[in-house]
Amino acid sequence: MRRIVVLAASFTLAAASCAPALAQTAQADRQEQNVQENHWRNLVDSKRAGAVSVVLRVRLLEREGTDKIGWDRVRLIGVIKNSSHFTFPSEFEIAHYSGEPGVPDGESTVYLEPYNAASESLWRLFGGSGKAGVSHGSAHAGPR
Amino acid sequence: MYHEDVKVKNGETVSGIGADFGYRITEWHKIWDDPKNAPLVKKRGKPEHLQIDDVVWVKIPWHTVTRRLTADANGASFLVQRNGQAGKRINWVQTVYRGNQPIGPNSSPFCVDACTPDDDLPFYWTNAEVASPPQWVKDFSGDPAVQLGKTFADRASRGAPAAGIGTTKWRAIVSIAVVNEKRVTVYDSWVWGFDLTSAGVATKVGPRCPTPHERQGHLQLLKGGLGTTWIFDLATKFGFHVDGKVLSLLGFGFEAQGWTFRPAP
Repeated sequence: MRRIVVLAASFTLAAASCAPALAQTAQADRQEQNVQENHWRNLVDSKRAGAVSVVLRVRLLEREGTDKIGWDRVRLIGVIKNSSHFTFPSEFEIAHYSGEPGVPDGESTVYLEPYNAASESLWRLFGGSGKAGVSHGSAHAGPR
Repeated sequence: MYHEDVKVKNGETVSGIGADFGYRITEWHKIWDDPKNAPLVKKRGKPEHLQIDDVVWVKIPWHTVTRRLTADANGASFLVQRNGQAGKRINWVQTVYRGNQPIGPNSSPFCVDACTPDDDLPFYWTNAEVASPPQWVKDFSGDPAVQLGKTFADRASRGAPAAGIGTTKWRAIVSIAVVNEKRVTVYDSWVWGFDLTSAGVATKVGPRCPTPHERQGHLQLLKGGLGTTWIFDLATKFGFHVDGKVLSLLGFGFEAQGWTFRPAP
């Protein structure tokens, strides 16, 4: 009988000490999830970011093709910098020169400049090229 | 070869006009001594006595000397170069038929390249590009000091079309464009392009001279081409010209902006 009481007491003690530990773990999980979801905020080249008005994290959806200009359809993952007056939709197109690389497969950080002087909604890669306008590519960051 | 009739503006010289149209500064005498300028020479005596509104005839003898079309994995690349000097009044124009795969914000199968306008002029290269050529054109031409007034380059491509829509037939006509005020004289035109099957097999087409019908279509497309002050409404399929706060359906394209296009006389 004595043994049973001792066992029950130790179980109660364990349960009481376990409750706050679980809460802390959940909080830590949430923080880790946030860090994982927003990890892209740190995937930026500050020098290039300083040279353009828009820096985004995107995922390539489709490489449409090229005439003089090529267009890549992307999904917006997050906004790292936007000093333009344009609000980027969830999906949009990014331009690049036909002879230059565009947005790579998977996720990447893109540095954008206005496509022309008249439109606020059209954007191209910095310098018209994925060489200058893309960094931190992650080709294996999941399917399109 | 043909002659441009150039009306002299304040501060212009024969050598400067010649440079604008592809001559070296030192070749001013080729213009001044041209028999078509004999009446002007008789009237003014010396090039230094040129007056505003005099008409100087400038022979345009330049022609394409390089036409290099190569098949790529999913399209074709075309390099065209002409002789003469660059000259700020000589550029290129290209019109495109994009078949069953128009791309970008401008969904029209026919267009003046850049098909989604990158400036408000009808020419292939923007002024900014002429001043600072894209790196890929330097690489493609093999000339780090490439001059876009003398060089055209394009690398057209598409993804393989779905089997249901058939082969993509991408065609373009590129021409030398001589600019005199807002009159553009288009000549030495070349048709090029590619076919791309649903199996992803690309075959280059051309380069060849355009047929009379294709030349006419080239000019018509240029007249109706869009600049950046035009908004193409995808829903209504209408173009709207932004003129202050007025949107109008009257007049359309480069012709409505005062540009004229003609074949070389």
